[in-house]
Amino acid sequence: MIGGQAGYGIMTSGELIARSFSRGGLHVHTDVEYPSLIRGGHNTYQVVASKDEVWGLPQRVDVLIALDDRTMREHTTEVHPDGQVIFDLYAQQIDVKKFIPDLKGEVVPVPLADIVKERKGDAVMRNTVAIGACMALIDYDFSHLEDVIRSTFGKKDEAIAQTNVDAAKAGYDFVMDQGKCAIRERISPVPGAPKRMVLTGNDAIALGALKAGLRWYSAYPMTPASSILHFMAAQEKNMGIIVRQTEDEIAASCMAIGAAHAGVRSMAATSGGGFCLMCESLGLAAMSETPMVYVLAQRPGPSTGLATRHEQGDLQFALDASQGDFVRVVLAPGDANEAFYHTFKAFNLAEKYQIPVIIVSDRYLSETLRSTLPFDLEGMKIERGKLLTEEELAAKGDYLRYEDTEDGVSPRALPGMKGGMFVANGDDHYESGETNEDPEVRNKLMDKRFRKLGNLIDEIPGPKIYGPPDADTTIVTWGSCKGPCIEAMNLLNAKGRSVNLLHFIYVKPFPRRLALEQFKKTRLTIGVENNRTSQFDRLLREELKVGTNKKIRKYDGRPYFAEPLAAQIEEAIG
Amino acid sequence: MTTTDELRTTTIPDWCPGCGDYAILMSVKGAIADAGLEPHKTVIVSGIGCSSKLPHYVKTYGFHGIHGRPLPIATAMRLANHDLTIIVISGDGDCYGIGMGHFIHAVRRNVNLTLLVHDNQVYGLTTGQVSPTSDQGFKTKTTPYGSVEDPVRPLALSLAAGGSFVARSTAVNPKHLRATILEGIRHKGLAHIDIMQPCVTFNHVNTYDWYRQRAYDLAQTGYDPTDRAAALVKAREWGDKIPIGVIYREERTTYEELMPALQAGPLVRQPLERDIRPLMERFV
Repeated sequence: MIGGQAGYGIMTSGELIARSFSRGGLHVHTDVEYPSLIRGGHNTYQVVASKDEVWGLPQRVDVLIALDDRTMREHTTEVHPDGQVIFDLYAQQIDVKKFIPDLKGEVVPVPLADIVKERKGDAVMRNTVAIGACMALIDYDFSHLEDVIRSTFGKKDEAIAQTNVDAAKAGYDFVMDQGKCAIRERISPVPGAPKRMVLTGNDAIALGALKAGLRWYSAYPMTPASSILHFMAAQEKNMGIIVRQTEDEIAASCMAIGAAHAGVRSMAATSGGGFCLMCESLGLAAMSETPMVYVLAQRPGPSTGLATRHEQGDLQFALDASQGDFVRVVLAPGDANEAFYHTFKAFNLAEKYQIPVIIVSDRYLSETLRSTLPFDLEGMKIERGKLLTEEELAAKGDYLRYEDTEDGVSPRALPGMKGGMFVANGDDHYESGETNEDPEVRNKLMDKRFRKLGNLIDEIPGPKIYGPPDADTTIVTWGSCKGPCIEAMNLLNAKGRSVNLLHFIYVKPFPRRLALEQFKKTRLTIGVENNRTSQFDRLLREELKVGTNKKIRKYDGRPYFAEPLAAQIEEAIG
Repeated sequence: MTTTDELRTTTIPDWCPGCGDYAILMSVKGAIADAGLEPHKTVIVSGIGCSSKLPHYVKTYGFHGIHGRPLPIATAMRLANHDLTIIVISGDGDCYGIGMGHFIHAVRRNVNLTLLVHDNQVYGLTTGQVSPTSDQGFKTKTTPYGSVEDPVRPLALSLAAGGSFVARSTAVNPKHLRATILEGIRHKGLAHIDIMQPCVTFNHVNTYDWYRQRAYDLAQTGYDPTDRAAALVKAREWGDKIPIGVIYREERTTYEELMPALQAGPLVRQPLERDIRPLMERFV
């Protein structure tokens, strides 16, 4: 764990550490905590590395890099008795044990500021020195850190990269010279391990969208969705996309609809507050049958809530947002890998069924880095559904945009095509698009739109089982709780319990048949989710007429940690 | 050549008899024909209100959206396919009330489209409430003692936001209106035309006669529409005399000219398949 004030480069440091481990062939997982402040707030970044796939953070800290006193005071209690705390050398002047009586680990003082001063570097480089020192403590091959520093800073400036490498090396050498090398268990690189990417859920969503042919992205900045906007903006020229930061989320959504109507694949992303503003146009996308992909990256509400924290409190909101009844897809990836493939799929579903698709993420999935194998792009096929060519349109003769078809999906012409002229309409309408309020027409078009469900449901993947198929206890969860639940399950099974996990990505339309098949096999079910009212369990009871037997909830703005979650599950098992 | 007959649809307008919208509809069709626009390459985008029903009455592509939001929808439609000519139909409530934020931003972006605001100084579709452009003292269902608010000055706002084509016309002078819309369509950038329009059902103050008596054509006064300072004064002129015509115009870079992605042609014609492997490599 590395901690310090906002502005100390904590985020960058955490990424450097994570990527260094990944380059050495280790699996990594991270989490970051920061308040809604730019400078002066307290930030921490945790990285866990392991030879085995790792799905969540342990609660203990092996090495703590404390860049300020506050990190010392607030986090030293988390340090394992065999752990170490890297602290600036001036701490030697004080009696650390007296200053922090709870400290169990060992303090390893390193003259971070002096090393930077000697090199006439920027004070913010203290973190680089500390990372070097950390690598020495665990006797981790320095070359991986050097590689990562060069590829991170070298793009901008070779000299800056070199200064940082030197600073890190100085920290590394200092610890080596003190004879503190490998005073704890070594972390060895895994030779021959496959190359892995280290990326966030938001990175994966952006990549999935680009793979799907995204050409329009509009958004208004809002944590934790903003990093998609940053990513896309940086790719605007390279990838040939139009990326617009709009005046508000209403415009972000409406613009995306306008672009989609013209025929390009488009997306808008936000968090709960912004999604509130998008609701009206979400309904417009449904009524005008415009293919749209939304990302709702949740954070705790109501209102501004905990602006930079984590929660899964918008599930019921996403399921029913906007006035009236309409067909939509709501899906919640469990990790970056799923975020990539299901964002890609979201665009196909949106276009084949001419409906809005909502990808539900959250702070934990959107912002935490994790190592993942490079995505396998084989067989990923862009499907545009009943999008007409100009020739097909000409062959049709009389064209009705909202034609009452058997499967509910009407052939789609784009503005600019000869012979397709129609009015897309947010008012209910005839098959032509002309506004109409007759009861028969209303029923006919409403039923047409809902017939899309017939084929759509066959494309909705059911929940997936992790762990032993016939376990005594089944954890039931959705979205980003997947990782902590897998970790907790592994801990419990290692203790001799019999636990598996049932994880849902797709929640609307609800894969009822596939879910029932899985539920039939369970004995004791324990629902785990990150909100106050068990929103997913409410969905289960509505769809399956039965919820989980026991419920675990967490709504303190933080994700689950494996050990306490395992303890709660054990208690629930009884 | 497109004729106004070709632009006719079978849908019968449900505006009140005598509504100013009819004259605007005729003028829009006339200007489309005069400009030689191909109907299938033309999109009329509207919001909600009496005026916003207009796309149903012109045989082009159309988008009848939600209240106050035609501008963001139209902005992206134009950027997604800049082969399309976009005409936005809005009203005083749609554009200067609920949609005011989008109006200012669309104007400053100088999106290449024509914005026609049917300004009858009253809410018609919701049966007679005060509007942002209602004059002080105007009595409606929601202002039974007369409106207390200073009205919005649309042309002054447009100028302040950097408008490159700011004009006013009126439904009581269809010839002038048709010519002004044609100029707007031909303008490179956002052409904002505020159209004074009588509402025969809910506005018994700003009537046909009221507008006729006050409107005077700037073009016949030797006015120079390239002088921004003079335009700011003209834009606020309202009362016994109301200027119509182009208040201000200039050549200014349009929004789409600043989009790097459009150098490869209209966005809609660019392929969906792309290689993301170099991007993935960056995360390793």
